[in-house]
Amino acid sequence: MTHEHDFELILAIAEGAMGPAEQAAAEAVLAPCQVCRTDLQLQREALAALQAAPPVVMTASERASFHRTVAENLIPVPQKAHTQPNLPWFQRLMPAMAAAAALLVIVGVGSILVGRTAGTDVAAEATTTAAVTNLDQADFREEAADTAGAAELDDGAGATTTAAALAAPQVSGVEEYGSVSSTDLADIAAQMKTSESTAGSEGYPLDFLRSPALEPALVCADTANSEGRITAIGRATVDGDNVEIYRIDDLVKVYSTADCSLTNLFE
Amino acid sequence: MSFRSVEDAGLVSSFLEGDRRAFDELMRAHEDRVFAVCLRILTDRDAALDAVQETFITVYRKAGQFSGASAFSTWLYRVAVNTCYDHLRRNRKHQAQPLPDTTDPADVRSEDLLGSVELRPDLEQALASLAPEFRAAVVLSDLEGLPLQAVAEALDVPIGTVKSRVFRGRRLLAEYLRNLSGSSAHQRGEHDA
Repeated sequence: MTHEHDFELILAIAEGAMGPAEQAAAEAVLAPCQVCRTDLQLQREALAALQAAPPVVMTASERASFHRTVAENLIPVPQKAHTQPNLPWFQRLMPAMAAAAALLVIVGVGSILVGRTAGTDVAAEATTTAAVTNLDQADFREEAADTAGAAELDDGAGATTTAAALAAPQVSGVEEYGSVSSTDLADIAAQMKTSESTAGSEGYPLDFLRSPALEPALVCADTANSEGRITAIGRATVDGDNVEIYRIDDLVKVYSTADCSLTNLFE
Repeated sequence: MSFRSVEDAGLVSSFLEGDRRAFDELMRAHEDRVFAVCLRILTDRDAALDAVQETFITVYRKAGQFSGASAFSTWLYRVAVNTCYDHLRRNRKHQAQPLPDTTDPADVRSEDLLGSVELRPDLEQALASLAPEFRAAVVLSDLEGLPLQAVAEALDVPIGTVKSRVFRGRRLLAEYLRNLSGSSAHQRGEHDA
């Protein structure tokens, strides 16, 4: 009997997950094996000790401190980020464009009718058309901001936002290390820890790196749930596993992009 | 799906529509269990308090990323466990401390419970002796009573890995308790002699 292969059976017996007959049969299977019997006994002892453990709760002062700290750190309520995540931008713009077109038609027909009856008021028409155009641009900017994940596109001076300015937020300083060994990875981490910040003098706040439209895309920035700032980012392939490397404060963390599990930590 | 899960889903939805009270309700519904998980993993009340605060602040900021594919509580535990892991990494150089004698007479709910915790310092020591990965699996499975599948989702590992961690964690814990009780008996024997 191979003990390594029996732990699921031992777990099931210890937890009483089987019916009486099944349980007896399973225990009979383990009976000839001393190691398995010992393992089963240890499982039962651990379970008994754990199940007898009393629950723990916060004290009144801890609870008050907890509520106060949380309240102090909460920013305005976040809204659901993407209600229509899979639609291309032009489809998401369609309602706004349709509304703008309808307004233009109404304004055009109205001014023709007014012009026929009372003469064309060129200034008024120009003002209305400009307002509609501004509305259209505002909608476009809002949609583009949503698409790009950018929180702020307004330049503060009311200038027209160009298409170039609507690009996704860029992350500079992402180092590509290519295919490396585990030893190389340790060297890279050591190098990252001592190098100058490649992400600006103060680094990136995590909120920025969590933008879904980031370029280049970072898969695991969201997992690096530290409160610190990321001051260096790298990407590599270690033993066939694609990883992302983040320097967060004094730590260098390596995440597998397959599942964003932490694979290495260099302190 | 349990009543709690349905209620949580509704609260998350309300919160994402801008209802701050829904978040408060979610927090109050889960804060004790999250605190318990953090305390069992970190074995230090101050660190656990920091971790539970950080957990709910993260949940508040990232609630929009909760997909609803699993129960809210599972997602919450995942955030809590990751926060605890971060704390442990940051404080790796510090030795884990046993639970302090913290009682607060003002909190009637916790007074007796804390008293009873102190009756089992051996269990606290045994838990603290486990590697964090084993400890988290045992805490979620055996102390919080999560199904193994939910533990797997909370720890973001395959269910086979969870079974292995629970199995090995319990075995180490029982062995530690046996040794502790053996050495206590030995000390008692010496004292009696």
